[in-house]
Amino acid sequence: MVNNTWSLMGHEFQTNWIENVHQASMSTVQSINIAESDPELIQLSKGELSKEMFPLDRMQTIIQKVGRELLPFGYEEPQGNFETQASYK
Amino acid sequence: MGMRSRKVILKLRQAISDYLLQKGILASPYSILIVSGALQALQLISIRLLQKGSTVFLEKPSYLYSLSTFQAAGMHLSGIGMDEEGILPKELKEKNNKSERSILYTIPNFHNPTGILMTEERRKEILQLVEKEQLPILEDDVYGDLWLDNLPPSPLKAADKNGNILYIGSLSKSLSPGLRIGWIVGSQAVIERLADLKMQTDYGSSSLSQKVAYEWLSSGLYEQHLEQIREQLLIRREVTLKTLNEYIGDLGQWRIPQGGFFIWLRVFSDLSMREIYSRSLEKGILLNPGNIYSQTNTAFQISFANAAIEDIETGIQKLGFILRGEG
Repeated sequence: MVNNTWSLMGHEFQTNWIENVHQASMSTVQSINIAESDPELIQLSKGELSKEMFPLDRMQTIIQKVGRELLPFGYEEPQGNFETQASYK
Repeated sequence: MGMRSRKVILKLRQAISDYLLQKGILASPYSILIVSGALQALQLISIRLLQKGSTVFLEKPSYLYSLSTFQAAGMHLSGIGMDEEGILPKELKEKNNKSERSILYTIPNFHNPTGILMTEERRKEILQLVEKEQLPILEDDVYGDLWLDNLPPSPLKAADKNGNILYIGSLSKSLSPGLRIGWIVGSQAVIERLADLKMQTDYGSSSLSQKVAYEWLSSGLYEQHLEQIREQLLIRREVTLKTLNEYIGDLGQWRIPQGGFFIWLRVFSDLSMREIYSRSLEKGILLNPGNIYSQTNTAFQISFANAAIEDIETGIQKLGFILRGEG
């Protein structure tokens, strides 16, 4: 990989302002975050429901419904979706 | 599918408001902010509401120790001990210096990583204390819907009259973290400030995810889904506890969690946490060691939600061998 100014930032060359930005995760946390997506490992601590418990049928039904009823969409309201009975003709 | 006069009622915040009412929380859609998961809630709050140099009290151990969200924003964490009823009010009172700006971050329902459920009595004590000490609370309730034995006591937020409590919820633990949908509930003024920062950060959470979340909550399918999840988690909990008894036995100590999906396993071993973590990894098992949550005694977080049941059994069996020095 070619180093450029971005690739150096947050790596060896710590400029002053970078300290004010996010600290890197603890090394154990970093390695866990990577190992958590390794399918070869038995995930004995992972805080996510197993794929076996994913409600795939219902999710598909809902997403199809959302698709059928879809109207043009764009930026959302600042606090999140709350359209009160918007009428479309 | 005509185009004429179709009323589109897409009101995710209204649906969340209705959902919260079942928990005893009276929140208008105007006092709710949709966020991309609880982690974004913590980010927004740490940047916009808390001051540099302030103290965040929290349970010790806590999931929050594994993040650097608050420290990165110039706050420091101050851990408070727990017993089987939750965070200890006496210790909180002793450590809180009223002249400093501080907040309390707490996970009353099925605490991460210990799985402890704060009792109703303890909730009352904490509420009384924070009112007296004027200590704002950040209540993290992302596991509350995953109760297994009994409905948990009402959230602290349900008793909040003065907007002293910010409440965080999410669909990530109970439905799917892939949706990236969570919420913050607070006073309207505070929520508007956070909404402004949210817009500066990402211009709002995904419209598609919000529509999908609305359908789940408003159709009743979310409740049905939770019932099914509970059944499966109960089976998984039983198998995991049985396997722990069989293969860890005297080498460990744990409580039966009443909800969520974590078992906090204290182990008695000559091996260090680091060694147990490394040896487990060599055997193909990923275990979160307690030190990432600022736990000093040797402890591990066991999740009975993720791996296949047979793999949980195999994993715990292998851990038992490692602890006996046979692994």
